[in-house]
Amino acid sequence: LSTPATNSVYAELRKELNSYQDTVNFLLALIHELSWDDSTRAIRADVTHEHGSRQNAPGNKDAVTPDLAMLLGQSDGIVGDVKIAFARTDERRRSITAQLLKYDRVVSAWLTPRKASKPRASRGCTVLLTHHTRKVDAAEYLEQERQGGRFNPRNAFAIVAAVRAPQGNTEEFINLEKSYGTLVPPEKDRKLARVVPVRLDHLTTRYAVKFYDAQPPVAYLLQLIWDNILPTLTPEESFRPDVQPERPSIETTAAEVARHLRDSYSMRLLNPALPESPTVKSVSAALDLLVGFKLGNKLGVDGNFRFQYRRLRGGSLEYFLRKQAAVNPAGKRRTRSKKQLLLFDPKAESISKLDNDRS
Amino acid sequence: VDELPQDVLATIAGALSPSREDAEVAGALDRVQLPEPFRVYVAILLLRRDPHLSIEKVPQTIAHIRRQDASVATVLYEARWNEPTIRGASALLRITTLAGGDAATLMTVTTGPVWRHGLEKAFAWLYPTVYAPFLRQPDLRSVFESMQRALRSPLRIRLTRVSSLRRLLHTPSRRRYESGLTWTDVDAEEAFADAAESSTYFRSLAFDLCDVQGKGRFVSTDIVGKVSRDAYFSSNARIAWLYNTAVVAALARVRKEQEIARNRGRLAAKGPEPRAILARFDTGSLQRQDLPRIAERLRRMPSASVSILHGNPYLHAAIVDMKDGSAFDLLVASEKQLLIVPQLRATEPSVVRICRYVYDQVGEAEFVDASHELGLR
Repeated sequence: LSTPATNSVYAELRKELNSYQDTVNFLLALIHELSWDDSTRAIRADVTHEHGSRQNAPGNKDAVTPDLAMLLGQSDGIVGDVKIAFARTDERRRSITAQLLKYDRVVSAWLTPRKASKPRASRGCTVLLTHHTRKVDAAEYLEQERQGGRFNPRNAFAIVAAVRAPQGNTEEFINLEKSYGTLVPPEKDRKLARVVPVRLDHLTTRYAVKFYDAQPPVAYLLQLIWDNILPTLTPEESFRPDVQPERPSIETTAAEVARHLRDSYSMRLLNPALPESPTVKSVSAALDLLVGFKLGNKLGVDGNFRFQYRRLRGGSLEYFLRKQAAVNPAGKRRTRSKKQLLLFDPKAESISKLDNDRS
Repeated sequence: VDELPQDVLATIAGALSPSREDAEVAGALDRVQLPEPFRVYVAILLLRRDPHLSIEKVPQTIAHIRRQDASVATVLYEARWNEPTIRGASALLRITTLAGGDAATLMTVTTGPVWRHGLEKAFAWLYPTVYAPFLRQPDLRSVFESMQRALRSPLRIRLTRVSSLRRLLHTPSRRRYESGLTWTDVDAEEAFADAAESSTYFRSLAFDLCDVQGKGRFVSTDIVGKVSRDAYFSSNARIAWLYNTAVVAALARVRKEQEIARNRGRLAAKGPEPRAILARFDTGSLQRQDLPRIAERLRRMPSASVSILHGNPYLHAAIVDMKDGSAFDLLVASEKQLLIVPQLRATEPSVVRICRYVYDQVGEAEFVDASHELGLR
């Protein structure tokens, strides 16, 4: 397991994992900052979260699912996407531009609904959340496109840059900064024009969200299922390693695991009406992988699984990462097969989004 | 216990009557001076789901416990290996469930070996129905302060033997602790002050009561005892004093910490927010260069599966307690605090176990409710 080739695959998987965690934290930090009322020093009670939900708008052929979609009271609507590693190739950059324009139309639809219905907001903006190191590239490209007439959003548009920023010895912050354009509401535009540090401690204490709309790394999801979901599906008494001769046996279904994941770790924590993500189908694929690792079996055709719960060598995350590194062809650059694991609804364009992020 | 003089035995049997309050029992035992090697032991136990404490369930291979009535039982412990001196030793056991049903005090007359090998093992077996609280260094200090306060001059508490552990977090040594057993004759106050300077915590402290005579000469009164951080106390005389000071002070601390451990699991709490616990360190205890060592120590936690989700420059670990399937995230993203974030299941015994492990391995911490502390609620 420790040949140099597998190690490089392993290192890449670790990197992917960290990047995903960072992205979740960046997104939460931005959501938190936008929901935060500086005058009362509390979270606003009138925020509607629609992150990852399907949004239709005139001019858009299909529904889109923005990573960030929120309404602050009845006045401000913010729709945005996360592109942590803002694309490096023109082709992908063009697709980001097209996507942002789609989101801009969603904002327009919120502001001036076609039918007689009430506008959902009076001000709106589109946001691109990217990494601090990519903010200049993103701004230069979009500015160039704007001048070339290929990127002309009707509403306000802003680039928000995020970066993890250690301070002092072990203090960890996420710094948010509006690096380009205009944000709504105006007070947030002014505030984020300077760097806003958000403490990681505070985010973790406040939000249990562990994934956003994009497909999480396989090992990350498996770790979450193995460590946090499966043990709760069997009584405490079935553990007792010193007393019970047998390992806990856990019988469950993909639907049950998916329900726990959604209710406890997804953006649904912010709004229970959000779409069901991850889907049962994708969780079923993840459970199949666990069966493939010989940690359990599939019972018949009715979709039930039975797992023999145990402590995995080196900790579950390490175990899954190594397993994953071992099945990937050593030495080759790991390509993300679209068939690899359809953990999320493929229609939700999360796969193509991830490909963009990865460029 | 059969070796005890008849009159002493009669007093003890009478005192342990189930209808009495703990303090009354202690009062009735106060005048008894037990011969070596006997001691009265008082322990604080935390209970879960079983307010009546089914001690009879303990396998006889560990200790033979026979219940006499609702609260008194007999313990028979036979050493299985070559320890002939303790074969056949037995103890009278009195257990009182406290109000609320989630804690109990236990009183018994026994010898050190029976306590250590029989009773302590029996309670370890009963985990998580019964779990031991732990007294932090400041708790132990306040225990000794209350003991000393109740003494009339010229009596003073002298520490005779101190079992301590020094955390070696900031040194590159592979060892996690430096354990120490010292035979001292220092004053309790002095010992606590010394320990605070070297990241040392006490596991148990044996003391004797001394008469301070002219020129500061300490003369033992032959009243000896022991205080352990596992919240048990023993003495060969003056039980009422020990109970009313040490046990009462410790009980108050333990109940406060137990409150912190309650309702942490998110499945039970039904709320979307994590109910995090914050371990607050007095001084800058967590340096960045310590993070790999903290991660390494977490990995070695017994009966737990630990995954490091992020190692540097902040530490994020996921811990599953293999004793009951509780799960926690642990986050070090600040110099002076460490967050313990309970996941779907987080039982009280498990929360205490994690806190204790963090306390032992990482540093002198106080455990508080995080959202309250960070001003989020």
